[in-house]
Amino acid sequence: MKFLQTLGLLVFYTLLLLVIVTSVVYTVFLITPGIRVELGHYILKYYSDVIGISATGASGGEQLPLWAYWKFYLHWFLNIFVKGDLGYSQFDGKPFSALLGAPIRTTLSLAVVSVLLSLCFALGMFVLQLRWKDNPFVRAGIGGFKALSGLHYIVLSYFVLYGLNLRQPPHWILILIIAVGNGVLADTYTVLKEDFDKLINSPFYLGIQTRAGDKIFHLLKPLSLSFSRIMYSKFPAVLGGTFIVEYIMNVHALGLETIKAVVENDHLKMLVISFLITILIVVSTVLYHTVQKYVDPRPVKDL
Amino acid sequence: MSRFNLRKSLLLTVLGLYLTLAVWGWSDHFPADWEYVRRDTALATFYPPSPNHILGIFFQQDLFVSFVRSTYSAFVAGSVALVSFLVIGILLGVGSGINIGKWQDVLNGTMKILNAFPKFIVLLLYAGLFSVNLIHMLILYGIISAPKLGELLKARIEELKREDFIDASIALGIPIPQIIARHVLWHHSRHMILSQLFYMFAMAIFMEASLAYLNLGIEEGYQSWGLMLNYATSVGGLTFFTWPWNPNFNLPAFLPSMGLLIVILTLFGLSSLWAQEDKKRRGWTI
Repeated sequence: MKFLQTLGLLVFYTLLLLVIVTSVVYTVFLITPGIRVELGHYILKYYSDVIGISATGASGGEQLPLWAYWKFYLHWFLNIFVKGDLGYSQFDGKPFSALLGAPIRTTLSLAVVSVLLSLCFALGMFVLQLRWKDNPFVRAGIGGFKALSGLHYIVLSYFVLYGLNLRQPPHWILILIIAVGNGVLADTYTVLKEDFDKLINSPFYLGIQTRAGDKIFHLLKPLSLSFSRIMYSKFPAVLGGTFIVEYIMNVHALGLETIKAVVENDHLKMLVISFLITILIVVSTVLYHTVQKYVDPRPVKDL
Repeated sequence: MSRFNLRKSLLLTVLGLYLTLAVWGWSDHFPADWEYVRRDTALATFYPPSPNHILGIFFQQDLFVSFVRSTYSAFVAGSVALVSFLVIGILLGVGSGINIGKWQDVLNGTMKILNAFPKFIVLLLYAGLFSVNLIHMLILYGIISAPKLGELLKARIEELKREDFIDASIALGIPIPQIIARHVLWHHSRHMILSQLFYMFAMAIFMEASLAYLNLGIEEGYQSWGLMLNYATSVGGLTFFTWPWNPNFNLPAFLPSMGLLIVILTLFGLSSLWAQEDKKRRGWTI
């Protein structure tokens, strides 16, 4: 019963967030005169029956009445849940439902695997640093990885495109670029080290040492909490990085579609992408809190 | 000289060099011979170095002059994002750390929401919605990145709240804003804030390069390392994988890449040094 109640609340808040995000974006469209006219043409072309104004009745540069725009918005929003219909592109008339297939799957797989890989690399570097702190090769290796991480995605992609001569590189190369470049790896390593330093300087660790307890066993839980926190906090940055790499490498995915929407002034596509990104964020947040609750079920209380 | 101090001196020297180039870019004083490029030079062709153009000509511009001007653009981008990051970050951190009733919950919620959104995607949508210039986008970038500083400050305030000297300061009648400004922010958090500022500066430079590469929010005549990379990677026949003196060496792409790499690593290094200093002051084993 409690589970159903929680699920109901989650669905309610997600819907509320979706309404807030999309209506804010839509309001911005409506207060910009140029976009409003373009949107009017679009509504008349595809949804004239919904608003009850015929396309032949309206003249070229005229704006529709405000209620017609909001009626369309309501229809568009409800249609997503009733028919799974996201609408059509303002630029080429293609249905947005196509975004739900390969594009979102590719972007998600790239972003999620990149976050995991980045964490694995950072963990490897950290263990090496912990075990062989004064070994010059280990120090040089870690320094090299950090230097590599300082390279911009554009530069790393350029190496792949022109250096390795791979015009359509396999996804694992893209994942490597996203996981390492733009400072992602260096930052993941820093955050991991920070969390570990915090842990070994805590009274909890002192307690383990005093009781001569099994350090690995006792540190496993706080470290897994730290891993999930790092993954959750790095996910938005990596998702942004995925968008850049997809654009440079011309990978048909959500990133390329977003940048194309901005360049082509496809406002409806931007609205749909805002909708999809909000869902992604809600899902990642729920997953993170579920994992946290599972690993550490103690209630959190603010001081 | 200890390894720590040696590293610090080296990084500060590189930063000094970068700032010198940025000032030069801001002053925009270059010898007339360097700036003069014949109008009949082809646009998408790289002309190798010559006595008047020490790094060659690309896209009808002296490559060295473009590089120096881009250094200034990167500096402006970093500074603009830094100001909004610092102001909003401190407000969020202090506001959510001290007891100010319902506002504390509002600020905590704001930080959580801002943290969850992918910054680059928010900037993309912002550019698409408002057709704004790059500076506005970087101000927004600073604002949406501020929760990171806010959360760190909040944690620091929570930690310091339990200290006796805070109780003593309150008992002595020192006003709360003064306790926060002097004892919390200055004496106990300045190294951490500085570390975050260097990190943010680096990330803002990355962001500026990405946006300029995508031609978003830039005006005609704008110079940027990202834009240089865009031009350089759009021309065929040039490559990184040859000797630098080979005419086919892609100097137009190599220069901004190295500029970005060196500046970013320097800033990351400085950020990590100040984070280390902060840990030392707190008596942590590192």
